[in-house]
Amino acid sequence: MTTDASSLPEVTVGDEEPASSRLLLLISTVAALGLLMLHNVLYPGQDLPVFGELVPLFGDIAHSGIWFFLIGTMIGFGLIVATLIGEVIED
Amino acid sequence: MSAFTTALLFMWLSAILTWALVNRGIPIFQDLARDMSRFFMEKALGPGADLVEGRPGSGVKAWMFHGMLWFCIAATFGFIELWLSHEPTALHSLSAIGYSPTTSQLHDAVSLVSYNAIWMMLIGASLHINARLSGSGIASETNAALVSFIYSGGIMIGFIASHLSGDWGDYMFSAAGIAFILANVAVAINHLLTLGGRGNSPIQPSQWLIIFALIMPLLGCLGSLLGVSNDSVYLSTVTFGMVAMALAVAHYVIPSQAGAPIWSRTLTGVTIFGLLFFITPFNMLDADLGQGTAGLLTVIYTLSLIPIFAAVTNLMRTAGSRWGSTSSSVAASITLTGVVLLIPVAVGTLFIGVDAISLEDNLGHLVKPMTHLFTWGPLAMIAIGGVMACFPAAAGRELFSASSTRTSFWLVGTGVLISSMAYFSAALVDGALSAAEVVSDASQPMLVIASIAFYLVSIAGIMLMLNMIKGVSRGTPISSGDAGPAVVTDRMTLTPGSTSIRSMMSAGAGVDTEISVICDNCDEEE
Repeated sequence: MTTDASSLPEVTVGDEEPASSRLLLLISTVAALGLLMLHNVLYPGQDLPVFGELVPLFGDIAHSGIWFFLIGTMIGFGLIVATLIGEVIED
Repeated sequence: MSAFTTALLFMWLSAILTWALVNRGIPIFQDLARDMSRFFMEKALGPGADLVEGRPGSGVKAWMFHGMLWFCIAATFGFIELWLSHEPTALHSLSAIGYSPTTSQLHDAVSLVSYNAIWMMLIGASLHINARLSGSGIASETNAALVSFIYSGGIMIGFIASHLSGDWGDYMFSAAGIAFILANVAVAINHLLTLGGRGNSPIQPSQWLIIFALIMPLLGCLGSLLGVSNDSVYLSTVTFGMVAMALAVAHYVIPSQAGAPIWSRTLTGVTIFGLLFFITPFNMLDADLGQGTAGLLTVIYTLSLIPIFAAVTNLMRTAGSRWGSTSSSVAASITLTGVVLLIPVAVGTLFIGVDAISLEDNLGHLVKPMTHLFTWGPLAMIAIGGVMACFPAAAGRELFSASSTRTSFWLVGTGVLISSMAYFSAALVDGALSAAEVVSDASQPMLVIASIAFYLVSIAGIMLMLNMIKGVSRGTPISSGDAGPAVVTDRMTLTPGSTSIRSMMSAGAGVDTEISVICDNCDEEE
């Protein structure tokens, strides 16, 4: 009995992922993005850095914050194509 | 008689004729018309028909996949349009590779793609709904799947044409229009043949709405060609088609997911015939319906609120009768949200539409946000609800992730509501400043919120698309008995006479339904 009990790990991770965990993650992300308004309070008159300033490769084209969002959409469309190809190959 | 009255009479007579022909059939030529239609749907296509296999559910899946893909593209460009409204130079760097659309070009492209993407999703749902309610399957799966590619090609051509000016833009718009009409004619014939295979069961409200939604725009187009209609009345039939198709899907999704029969037969009838005979002001915000029609048009616009209120009340009571089932179904929840949004959109468009025909243009600055709300609120939400409810049944597998489906619902709901509120606020501020002849960028922060909030809709579309692709191959299989609607009523009253079990089940009976036969004269006869 004691041998069986000692073989159990002290910490385990559940296999079933609760739906609320993702919701919590989403709320946290939205809250974190919302708190970006502090930037304008602390540094009035200074805009947030845009994509072109962070990634030198895109320094000449991405002069607007819209590129952060468009990159996300492009990744999304890439995922659609990759998933489609993956599912077809798997079949 | 004015041109507007003539066009209106033509449409009303066409609606009555359609109702009579669908109900009674075509005398003498019935079998000939059916056989010829079947021939043209498959055999006449020659090698084209061999491109698709025509397996059960393939038509629904093809329309929904194409629709969802265009939905994602439309939402992305909708986000770009909203962003450029507060930062016009955001994408100037793309002019280096030749992409520098004007504001109106981008608006036209977004309008065309979003409207047709939603239409494709609704058509997919309608094919499933008609097949289920008729009990005979779609008349031609091959044709349904093949035609989705023609329609999708039309959207592609229209999208490119929106970015062009001059003759080439016009030519391509014409080509896109022809593709849309051809595809819609094929889908309408497919629906009629499917309906013809239903046997003796009564035509359900959703089926009536589907048939009218497809036939009326085609008749409006025919009226324009014959010179008895004008462009604006044709536009009203297109709008009618979209609203009727959305309500057809809602009248199936909500009762089937709730597991309850539709609350009121009378309100359903009022919805169908009210929509047919009154022009809803949705999307008619800058239509030119001709001088001298303002009085008649105001009455018709106002009366069109009756069928909308009837539909919303009916569907809300239906959902409320089994609220537990409704609220636990994401498809029913998002569809109901879209249905409820019809009320503010109907009232809002009534004011803006009446203002537009009075030529005073006091509310002209609200046209864009109202169109935004109408397209992405009721229409898109009901279309997404149709996809969530009908796609798994057509594919024979559940969507891959239930939590991802629910997240898509919350993202769409939040994105549409916040972006619409912010867009309206910005438009009201701009309108007030413009009236005071003050130049200011006071509306900019609200436009920023509108664009960022709308980004959530784009992400939700991509998430749902991924969910569908994975679900087709790896979703939990649905047994054929589980795929259908589970509409069950507790008690049913019958009058003496004969009926079939199919008719009773289509009216909401289940195995546990208590059936009472009411007969006033039975005792006297015995």
